Amino acid sequence: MKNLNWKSLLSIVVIAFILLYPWLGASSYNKHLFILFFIWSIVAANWNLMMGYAGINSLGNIGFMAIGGYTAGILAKSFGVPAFLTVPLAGLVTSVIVTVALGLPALRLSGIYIALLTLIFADSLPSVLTQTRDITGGAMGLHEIPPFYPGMDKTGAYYICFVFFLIVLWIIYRVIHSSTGMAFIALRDSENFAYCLGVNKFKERLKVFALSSLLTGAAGAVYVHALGDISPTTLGIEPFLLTIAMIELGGVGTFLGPILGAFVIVFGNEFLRLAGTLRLTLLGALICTIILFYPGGVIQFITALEHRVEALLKRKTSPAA
Amino acid sequence: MFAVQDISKSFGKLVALSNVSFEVEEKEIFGIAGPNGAGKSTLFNVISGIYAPTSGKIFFEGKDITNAKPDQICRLGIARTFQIPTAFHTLSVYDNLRVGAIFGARRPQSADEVLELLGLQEVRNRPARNLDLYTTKLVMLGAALATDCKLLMLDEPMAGLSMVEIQNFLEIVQRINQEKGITIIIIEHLLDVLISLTKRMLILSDGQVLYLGASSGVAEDRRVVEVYLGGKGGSHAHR
Repeated sequence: MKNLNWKSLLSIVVIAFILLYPWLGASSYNKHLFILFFIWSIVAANWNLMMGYAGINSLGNIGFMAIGGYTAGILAKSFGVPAFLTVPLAGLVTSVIVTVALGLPALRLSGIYIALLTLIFADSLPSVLTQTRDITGGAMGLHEIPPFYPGMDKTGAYYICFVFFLIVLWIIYRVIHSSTGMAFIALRDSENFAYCLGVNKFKERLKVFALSSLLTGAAGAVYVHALGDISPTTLGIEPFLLTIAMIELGGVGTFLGPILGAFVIVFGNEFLRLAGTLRLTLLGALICTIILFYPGGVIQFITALEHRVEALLKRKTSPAA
Repeated sequence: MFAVQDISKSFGKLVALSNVSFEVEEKEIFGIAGPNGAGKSTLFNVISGIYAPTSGKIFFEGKDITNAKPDQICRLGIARTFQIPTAFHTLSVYDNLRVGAIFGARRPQSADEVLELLGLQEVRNRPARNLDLYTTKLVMLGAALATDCKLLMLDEPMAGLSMVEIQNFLEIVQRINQEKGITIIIIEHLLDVLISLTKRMLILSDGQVLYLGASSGVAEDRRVVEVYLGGKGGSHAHR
């Protein structure tokens, strides 16, 4: 009970800080970093929902984000669709394309074969983009994508992304604690018993696949409206590895892990720009160090810290008692 | 209501079951016995869809369920427990029952009914990993019951239990059968227990039907006595 209190208290303080931050003299640059943090948290959290909870070893989630981003960008630029429509539409388009073309076959496979198929899918997207230069801009990408509303400034984008961030995390939290979430725990604890009690693994996984791709696609749409452009570099190796690192670093299969991981990676990645070409090396070293001592990621580190503080408090109070 | 016809199952060259046939009547308690390695658990795995049979057919309420998946078989009304205690150890007792209620029965309230039926209210919120063997077996039984099954298959449910616990468990099995009208197939090692619990039984040996018929006739059957009860004894060596 005591632990629960300090955790929810800290969450409230953090949320309050994020809400007030633009009034506390946040620079445009820092607001930009927070926008990146919100969006990459969502991508990482959905990826973690697939990998950490549903056991779907997808490596294609950046591809889902790109499909959503491009869909929204094309709808807004070429067809003048307003942003409040492009975001849900991009989510739906991504979910339908990805679930039908990739999910249905991939989820019949297991383990590494799911990883291979989804990786191939994401890897094929840049060539699709070059082939469809007329509408996607090819290697140049899409630029000057209309913002959420005309005349939007960084503060506006900041709040819209923050609200989106809260909504998506709330949905993920509900999924983890739903009957679908329970089915995955049951499958992990005792697979055959779960089957014999009526759990259909394929169906439950397909649900998660469709939902994660929808939310990831929508995150791609929010990304392009908040930042204004998207190009095939999004599909490069760096965003892919950094997002995987967010999940691993934060803690696979935990609700808060990917969010903490996204925080460390997004801000770490920016502050390490001072280090120039050494940036990724230093970031990699940081990740390796944390994983070396805490294989469960930042979440495990926090739990260990919590136990140590509790033990200290106990020692202090025990002579009095 | 339930029939197995000429079921065979081979794993490569190993023949685990060959031409096993039997029928179970509605609301019956049907027993299955046999020495270790006779194929009893393989038979359950074939019936519940975990293994596909090499040949033969299985019918439930007139439907051919031979090639159905485990979750489909469950929703048709066949539930089972496992020989090894396999409750979902990180879930609470109540959530264990809910898995069966939500996915098997599509009727969440059946979890509450089973909780009461088996008297598990006191351990409702305890994680299943913190339970003793007897309670773990009750939870496994409860999850199966929560699927609203018409046929319940119990794989050596009393293994490892004390005499008192065996008595309690038997009473529960009989109550489920009489009050809820659930047909039961039970695998049991202890022949005496099975003879007193069932009217008819099947004895397997090396994957083949050794005996099929009235439980009261088991002790007098020379082949059963020879194969199942140790071989060297005389015709009355059933202890």
